[in-house]
Order: sequence, then structure tokens, then C-alpha cells
Amino acid sequence: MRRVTVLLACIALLLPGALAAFETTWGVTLDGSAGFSYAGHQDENDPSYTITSAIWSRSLFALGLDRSIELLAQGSYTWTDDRPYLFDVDLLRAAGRYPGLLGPTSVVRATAGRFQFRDTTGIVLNHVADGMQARVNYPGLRTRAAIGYTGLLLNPVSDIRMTMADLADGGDDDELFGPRRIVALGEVSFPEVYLRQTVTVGLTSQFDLRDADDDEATLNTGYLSLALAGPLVANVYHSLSGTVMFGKGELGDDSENLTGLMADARIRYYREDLLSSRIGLGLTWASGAGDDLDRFVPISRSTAGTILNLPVENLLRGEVSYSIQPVPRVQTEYTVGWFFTADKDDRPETIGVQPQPDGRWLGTEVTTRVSARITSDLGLSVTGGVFAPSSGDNGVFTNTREAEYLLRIDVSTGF
Amino acid sequence: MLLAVATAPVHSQSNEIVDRILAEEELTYGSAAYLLLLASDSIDEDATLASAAEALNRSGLGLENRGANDPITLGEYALLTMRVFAVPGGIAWSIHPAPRYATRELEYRRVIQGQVYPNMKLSGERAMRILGRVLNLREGGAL
Repeated sequence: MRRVTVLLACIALLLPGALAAFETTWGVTLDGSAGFSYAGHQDENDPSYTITSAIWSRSLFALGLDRSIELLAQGSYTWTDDRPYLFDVDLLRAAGRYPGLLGPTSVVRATAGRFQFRDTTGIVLNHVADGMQARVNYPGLRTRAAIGYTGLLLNPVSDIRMTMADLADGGDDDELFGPRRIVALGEVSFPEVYLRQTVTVGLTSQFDLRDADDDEATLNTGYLSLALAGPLVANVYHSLSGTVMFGKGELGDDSENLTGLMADARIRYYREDLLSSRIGLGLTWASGAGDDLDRFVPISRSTAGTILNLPVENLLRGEVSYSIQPVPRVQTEYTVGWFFTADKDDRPETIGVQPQPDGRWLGTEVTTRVSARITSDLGLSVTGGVFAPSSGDNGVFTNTREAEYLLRIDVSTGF
Repeated sequence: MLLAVATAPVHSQSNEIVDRILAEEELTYGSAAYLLLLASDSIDEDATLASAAEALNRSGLGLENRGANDPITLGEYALLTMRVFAVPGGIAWSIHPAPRYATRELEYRRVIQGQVYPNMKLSGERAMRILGRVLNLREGGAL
């Protein structure tokens, strides 16, 4: 009886007012990708093909007083030439919106289920997880708190690869699920507090739940981020962030406290009147293992470049990009990136690295992307580029590492 | 501003009808026909909602078995908008011109904004805003 009372009380909290309306819609998407890459130092340069078909549904419960709960579900089937089938639940979330719940100017949003978790920087954590998130927004203050679990994500789609054990599991077909982590984040943001600048402070953490063997390391980390973003002058926008990583790595009976740093700076110049032109400059630095600092390790392992398959760890990256819409519905983007190691003595884990490199220059990457929205439900993009590794006194690689070329074609449609 | 945009082709004599449509919590078929045909210069300003519905049906662009006072959904209004203004659609629309694909097409073009469900109710005010965006796109040559 008491449980029923509690349940009814919860329902009463979640459904204030009468259930005013229910709406639903659904659809199917189909995505195909063909990738052709060539690198002289690799034994195999086979093309890769991927086809993903997904079905989605979206439902709205209008509760009255502008309050609502929206349910979103998406499941997919993926075929690749490496794996004939992969069924996955991409998204499954309920999101409630409650204006005025905590004051007349407040908007409360509560989300539960499987959805995208993103930290303040978008570099430390940008990954799907299963959990809950609450946002409370006021005109001059935005707050967010979330907690999630990654252990139910399928191994092939999980990008949580923080330790060598995580990376080893990534190539193990016997592992059904990806690495188990509890992730938690909290964030406070002051929108347009001064000169239209938005200041954000965020705290993100992850706890390694691996049942590790004596020769497997575990890693628990926390990240404190400070970010500033907004317009500089007309048509020019910037974003800056700095993150301190503090953590503890354990291997058997040994443990080690870790401290790392990351900084990211971006400037974008928009000119919609000039064929929707956009110029971007970006600089990212993530500390390497050296005398004073440890290697910065993000929670989700995004790659530093389009072709260069290294994570944002022990890295200095600079890039210039230019985007233009020469004709309606066609967008072209040109990007040049320069990559360096942050610490000379911290060698990246990739093919062809000098045993004791004198230099820190990894190489240069040039990519071009053409995206076309042929119709509202048919998209096509072609990406091509080259990564030129750097060797010699200033470079990281030996002469055995050759240039890498990529051509990728993506098609998407839906009904 | 809404009225300034949507009433560009609407003369003062029809303001009373437009005011009534704006106040509708559920847009009727006759109101939809009146708005769309008046904005496309297909009827006179002194037409009634019932005659607008008949004109829409006679043109072959209307919905079957609908009375002037019957409510229509967001998806049905999107369908009528696509037909009256001959908005080009995507692949799905070309194969099966249904309210759900009309809704998606207009959502893609940012004509329909906010919560978008084809079977949801549509207020007169929201219908006017949608019509205003369609007219803006036509003036800009995007439709």
C-alpha cells in the first residue's frame, strides 16, 4: 500500500495538471558509407562499407500549462563488411519540460534513458550513456546535473577507451558490452553575463567499474572546466575553455595520482551575405606525460583529425577552416590542420614513431568536404584528404610512415 | 507583424474573418481554405469560409469529405499548403504526397517550427505564422 502511495505521488509530480493531448510520429532512416583509404605503410588498404537502417518514433504528452513530456526511441541495424549485423538501441529517452515549476521565470527539464552526454567542452565527454539529467534554467542562470552508466552500450559502438585494457577490449569480438563507467557531471552557466559573454563552470567525473586483473590498469578521473564564449565584434564569435584533469590510476597494488591539462580556443567569422561563408581558427592543447604533468585523457575517445587516428591526448592541434555555399543546398568546407605532440618524451601509440623522436611535429592534414542536400530527404557528402606525416629532426615519425589518403562517400535518406 | 506579412494580399474588408481565424483554437477546413486561397490570389476578399472550401475542392487541391467547419490537423494544413503553393517536395513526397511528408518538407524549410507532429491540432494563430513564412520564402524566391 505504501509503495502504491509513493508511486501515485511520483506520477502526480511528473504529470501536473490533466493530460491534455498525446501526439506521435515515426520514421525510417537509411545511411550508407563507403570509405577508400590508402597508406603505403599499412599491409591492407581495403575499402570499407557500412549500411545503417534505423527506425525512430517520437511521442508527445502535452500536460497543459506549456508542460510536456516527449519520448524518443531509435533502434538500428548496421551492416559492415567486417560485421554482418549489429542491432542497437541508439536512443531511448523521456524528456520532460516544466516551465514555471521552480518560480515564474524558471524552466525545468528532466531527461531519463539513453541519450547523449556532453560536458562543458564537448571534448572530455561527448558520448551516449544510460542515465538521468536535470536542467534548471533561469534568465541569468543555467544549471545542469547528470549521471550515467556506459556498461550497457554495445562494444562496437562504445568509444570509452581510456586505458590499455579498454583499447584491448575494443578489438575483442567476445566482449558484448563496452567498458563500464559511471559518469557524472554538473554545470553552472551564466548566459551573456557581460558584453554578451557566457561563462560556464563544469565538473565532470568518471569511475572505472572494471573488474581488473592484476595486469590491467583502472583509471578514475575528474575534470574541472571553465569556459567563455560569445561574440567579439560583428560576425566574429569565439569560444575558450580550460580543463584540469585530476585522477588516480591503479595497476595491481600500485596507484598513481594524475594531473593533466587541456585548453581549447576557437574563433569563427560568419558572413551569411557572402554565400554563407565561414572562416574558422582553432587551437587545442592536451598535456602529455612529462616532468610536471601527466597525459590528459578524455572520457570519450574522439580523434584529433579526420584521417589522423589519434585521440586528443598529448596533442597540440592548430587548424584553419573555410566553408562556403557556392550554390543553394551545397556546402563545401576546406580544412588544414597541423598536429604536434605536447610532450616530446610521451610517444604516441601509432605506427612508425621514432624510438626517441627529437621533434614533436606529427604532420599536416588537408581535407575537403562537399555536402549536398539534394532533396529534403536525400543527402550526399564526399570527403577527401591527405595526412602527410613529418619525419626527420622536427618530426615524430620515421621514413617508413607514408602519407595517408582518404576518400569517403556518405548517403543518407529517410521516410 | 504577423498580420502585416500574412495580410499583404488581404484587404481590409476581410479583417473580420482573419480576426475570427486568429482566435480559432482548432483551425477549420474553411478557414484553411480561405487563408491559403486568398494568399495565392485565388479567391476574392469577400468570399466566405464555406465558399473558400468549395473553391478549394473544385480546384482539386482540397481534402476529401471535409466540411467547412471540420477541424484539420497540422499535417493536413501542411498538405494543403504544399498543394496550393506547389511547393516541391522530397522523394517521399513525390512517391506518396501525404500529410506526414508535407509536414516534414515544411519543417525542413523552417516554415513549420516548434513542436511538429502531423496529427496535432493547429490553432489559427499558428496557421497564420506558417502562411507568413511561406509568403516570405516566395518573395525571396526560395519557393
